[in-house]
This record gives sequence, structure tokens and C-alpha cells, in this order.
Amino acid sequence: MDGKRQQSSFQQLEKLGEGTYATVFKGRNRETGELVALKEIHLDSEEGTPSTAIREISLMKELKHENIVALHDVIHTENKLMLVFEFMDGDLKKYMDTHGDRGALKPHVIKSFMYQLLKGIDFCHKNRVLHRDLKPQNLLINSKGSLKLGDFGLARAFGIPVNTFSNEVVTLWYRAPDVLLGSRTYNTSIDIWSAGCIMAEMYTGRPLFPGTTNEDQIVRIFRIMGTPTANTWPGLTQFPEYKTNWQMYATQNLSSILPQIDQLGIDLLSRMLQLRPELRISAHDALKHPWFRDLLVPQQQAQQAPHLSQQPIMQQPQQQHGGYQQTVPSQQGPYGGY
Amino acid sequence: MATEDVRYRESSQFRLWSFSHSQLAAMRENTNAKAVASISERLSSLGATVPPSSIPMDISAPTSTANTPDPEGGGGTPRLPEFLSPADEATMVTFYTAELMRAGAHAEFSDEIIATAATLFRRFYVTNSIMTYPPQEMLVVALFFGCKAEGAFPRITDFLKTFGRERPEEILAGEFLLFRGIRFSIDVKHPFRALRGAVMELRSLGDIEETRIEAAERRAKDILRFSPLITDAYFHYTPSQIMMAALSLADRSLAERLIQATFHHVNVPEISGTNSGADTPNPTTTNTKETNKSEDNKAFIIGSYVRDKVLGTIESCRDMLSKELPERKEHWANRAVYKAQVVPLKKKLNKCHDPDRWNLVELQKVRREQALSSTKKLDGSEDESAALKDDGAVFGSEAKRRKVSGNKKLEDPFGGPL
Repeated sequence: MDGKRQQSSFQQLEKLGEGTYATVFKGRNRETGELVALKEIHLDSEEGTPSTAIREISLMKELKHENIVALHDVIHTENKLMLVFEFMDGDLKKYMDTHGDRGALKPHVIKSFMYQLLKGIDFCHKNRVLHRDLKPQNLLINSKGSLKLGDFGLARAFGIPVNTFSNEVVTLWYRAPDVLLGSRTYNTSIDIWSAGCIMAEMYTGRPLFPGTTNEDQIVRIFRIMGTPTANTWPGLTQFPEYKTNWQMYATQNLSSILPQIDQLGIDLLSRMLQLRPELRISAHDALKHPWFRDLLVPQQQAQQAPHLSQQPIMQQPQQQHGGYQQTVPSQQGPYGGY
Repeated sequence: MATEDVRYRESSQFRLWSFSHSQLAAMRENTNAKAVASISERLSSLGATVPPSSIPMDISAPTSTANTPDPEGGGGTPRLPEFLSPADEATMVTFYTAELMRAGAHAEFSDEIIATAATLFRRFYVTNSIMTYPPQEMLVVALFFGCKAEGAFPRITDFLKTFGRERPEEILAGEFLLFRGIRFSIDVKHPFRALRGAVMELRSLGDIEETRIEAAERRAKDILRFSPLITDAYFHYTPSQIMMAALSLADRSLAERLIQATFHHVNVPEISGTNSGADTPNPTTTNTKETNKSEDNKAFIIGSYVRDKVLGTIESCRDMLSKELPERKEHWANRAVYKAQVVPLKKKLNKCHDPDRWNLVELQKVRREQALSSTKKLDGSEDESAALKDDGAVFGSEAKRRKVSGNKKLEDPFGGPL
């Protein structure tokens, strides 16, 4: 991991995704045969190595965890910068599209994914890293049923950009209300909000708050979570985006909107989807929530939580035949989730 | 505090960039020796035909001076210049670290940016010689890179203005070298945050005057902004050890108070299994299996073994910092000091630097061209250079150069693996 490996050590296979900042290819280590994801960073002749890439490498060199996609190597030549990541079969979005019932996943799968997602988030937060851009496209899945956080390109940068360095807009759907209201002092709780949105989406197959603009996003959240007031949210009026003419919505019962979720699950979800950031549950506490008591974790992680696991989650017969590796198309979103 | 220590042990700063005193000294000697060997060889091969004062940067340039008469009237072996010793190099690194910090302060960068840039600069010159790459240029590169590393999104045009450079290449040419030289470990753990924690803890003790705490914090912060960065502290000590040493220099009894309070409720260290380069105590057991054992030994350990070890480490770090207190900031800028200590080394350096790598812009140009042409050759005919694929694209020009000078050895010119 000190850049001694050469580009020629990897055979470049098909393209997994492309953006202005990077192109991701599937690759194979010529020596070991191991599959990898090669994220080729476009070098800017004006500004040198992109800050985003430097931030990402900086973080990924420190974040080693089973629920965070591993950076194996950095290959840098005069004209090219390439990050070598562990290979994952697909992302959560694609997984839901191909495995879900109209996008909706089975409860035991959701529980396993949520547990792994929260473990990854917890590790980031313990290392004082905010991911800031959690969404199904950035959660990578492999055939063993492991879920790992990917694409740290926006992690811990200053502010959350409205768009990345291209025209594609960073999705608003998973963005926390305090951020939408213009908070500059947000913290780890923003990732928890995203995790809550992702949990609901795994049950329904559809995004919980599919806003089109910043304002529309806020309204969609209030329609379900209720419009906050200075009474229910002290300091609310201080936010830059605070409006006095918000339509007042009553707080809805989450279990009537999401009848698929059991009572314990609703309890956890409502702790994650708190409008006020300081009331949102931490990743650390969420992992101890009773909803996870009957968690079935995938085999490779069973050792980490022996008291929690009775049997591996992905024991469907298909797994012995390569799992869903074949069924997850490799063509991914902009960066293929890396 | 305990889990912080565990986390620090997983950081690249600890894994890749922490060394014992003797390890670090050996690495620097090795770097120096390699640079001397490679530059000697290069100068000898040029020396027969080219006067040392007019060595062209681009050796493949068509305007070869091969026919220039040799003013030394020789043809025999040219005299080699006097090279910098490892001690000379250490002085130069210190001097240029001070320059870097002055430049950073002038540009009004944050403490973190300056501290990161200084650390990366010093890391770079562990495995690269001052004689190989120009420190005056690399310090600007380190500042530029430090801004990016700390998420400050610097604009190259602003940088050019601030540091009086004209073309972006002058800064960008060294970026790749620096990035490689630091082994892609960008994240630097600083002691500033630990100081904030210590101050909070001191306040929570309740019986210390606020003015005293504030004075100690101010002084300690001043020390942290300078002393650990211009010494090797980051290579040998953890951020909290550096912080405690600075606090101890600011107000020794406050620091001792904090240590007393901390080790009142500490767990047993894992006595085996410390594999540290840095002499760090490991007052932790997050591992549940260890807990029972820990409970048994707890009484035995607390207040003696761990605390003494910590105190010893902090004391040695304190010694190191005390040699470069913030009052020395002006030392290197002092004209008399500069004239007496720096100028002679600069004069030496003018004669003994690497003729091929001193101009970073030219170097990059040559390497890019050679990388391109070697790719073409690799694609096409069986060029001899294909056999050098170990050096491959990255060191295309390096490999060529060594072939020219007839040296078959393919040592990593950036120093061996860490």
C-alpha cells in the first residue's frame, strides 16, 4: 500500500461507471487473480491532483473496517492517479432493483444490511469522519451479503456541495433537515438521517422523501414528520432557510405510512428520523437497539457478533453457485459506488 | 483515552511514519548515502565533457555541449564537489521547515494546514535527500498539498500570487513527487485537539484558577504550533504525548496534575504485544477476554508501572521540544545565523545537487515525454526498455538515465520501502 505496485499489475476489465472526477473499471490482479475496482482519477492540469481525491485517499488509508470498502493500493504516475479498491458485486440500489419485490427487500435482509450500515457509520464517526453522502448507490454489496460504505469523495469536505464537479446533482433525498435548513454546524447525526431514509426505502422500494429542490425536499419531510415550530425545535428560527410561511403539517404516524415495518423497527426508525439533530440516535446506540436482537448476519461477520447470529443470512441455495454475482449488473451509477 | 490510543495505533502515522530514534537516523543516513552515490556517478559521467557550471537540465537536449572545450583542461576524472553530510541535511531540513512555517503564517493558513504541510515536508525528506529535490520549491508544494489535505480547496492562482511564482507548473510539478514520497499517507494526527481535551479536563477538576489554565493553554498552543513541527517529535511520539510535553513546558505542575487524575482509573496495559516504534504506553483493554485478567492486576499496575512509563516518555518528548521553543522562530530568520549556518550549506548545495532533478518543471516535462514514448515502445516493438518493467511507467526516465550511465542496478531512487 505504498504505491510500489504498477499499473501493469492489473488487467483492466469492463467499465463500471464514469463521472467527471473519476472512471471506475473492474480489474484483475495479474499475480493473484483477485478482482479489484480501479478508480481512475482524472488529473486536472490546472489544479493538480483533485482535492476530492486527496481527501478520499487520506480517509481511506485510515478507515480499515469490514463495513467500509477497502483501499488496497494507490498507483500514481506522471499522468494518472488510480485507486485500487476491493471488488464488490454491486450497489444497494441495483440490488434492490434486481432482488427486491418491486424494489422492496425481505425483512431479514434489511436488518442485516442496516446492522452493517450502522457498523460502518459507527466506525467512521468514532474516527471523526462524516460520510455526508450516504445513499443506496454508495452502499456496496457482495455475494456474501456484506454491505460496505463506499465513495468517500465528499466525506468531511467543507460544506455539502449542491453538485459534484459536474452537472449531476448530488441527490437531496437522504439529506438531513438541519442541513437543508442551512446549518453549518451539522455533525454525525446527518449520516444517521440518511441511514433512516435508506431503511425505509429498503422496505418500500421507493425513496421516502424524493424531493426535487431544496424547498420541495423540506416540505416532503415536514409532510410526514410534521412541521417544526420554535417550540418543538428551539433555535429553529435561526436557520438561514427558516421560513415563516411554511405550511403546517401534523406529525404522521410512521407505522401507518410504513405498515411493512414491525413495531421495534418503527421505534428505531423514528429515533433515526428525528428532525432535531441532537435528538437523533447515535450509530453506537442504534446498534444496541432491541430490533437487532434477532439479527441474522452473513457468515464472514458472524464472528464479530456471535451472540447475535444463529445462522448466516445468505444461505439461499443460489449462494453456493456464486450467489447473486451474475444477477447484479455491473453497470453502476456515476462512479459505480466507489 | 484508552480507545483513542488503540485507534492511533491503526493510523498510518503510527504504522508508516513512527520510528525509533535509531531507525530514523539510519534511514536518513541511507538516504544521504544513496543521493551521494547517485549524484557522484551522474556528475562523473557528465564531468568529462561538461563544465559543472553549465550542466544542461535536459540531457537529451539536441544542443548538446559535447564539443564545448573543458576549461579544467582535463578529460580525466573531474573533481567531485563536497556533499552535504547527514548532519548538514538535518540543519537544512530544519531551516526550510522554519521557512515553510513562516510562509504559511504569511499566507494566513490555519494551524492545521501549516502543521500538516510541515509534517509532510519532513516526511518527504526522510527518504529523499535535500540534494536531490530543491527544498525551497518543495516547501511551497507541501503548503499547497497541505491545504488540499485539510480540505481547504486552494486556488492555484492565489498560491502563485502569494508565493511569487509565475506558472502553475512550478507548484504542480512537485506535487506528484511529494505525494509519492509520503507514501500516500496524507492524514496527519495533530496534538491541538488533545490540548482542547486536556483544558476541559483541567477545568472539570474545579479547583484551578481559570487564568492559570488559560495561560497554560496559550503557551502550550504556541509551543504546539512550532516546537513539535520543527523537531522530530511527530516521528517519535503520539499526539497526546506531544500535547502533554507542551503542557508540561507551559506549566509543569498542571501537567502532572492531569497525569495523576488520568491514571487514577486506568486499565492494565497488555504487557506483551506492544509492537511500537513510538514508545507509547498502551493503557487499554477493549478486548473483553482480557478484562478479568486486567481486574486482577489493576491494583498492582496503577500508579506505578504505566504512570512511570508515561512520565518517562513525556519527559523525553519535553526535552526534544525544549530545544526548539517558540522563541526560536526568529532564530533562522536572523541574518547572522543565516549567514553563519545556512549560507555555507547553500553554497555546498549549489555544487552538489542532483543535476537532473533540481529543476522540477523540466524534470516533469522530461518524465512525461519519456513515459509517453516508453508506452509507445512497450506497445510496439520489443524495445530493450521493456525489460525494465519493474521501473515501468513511473520511473521510465529513471531507468533510461541509469542505462545511459551504465548502471544496471535498479534501486528505488525514492528510497527503499519503509
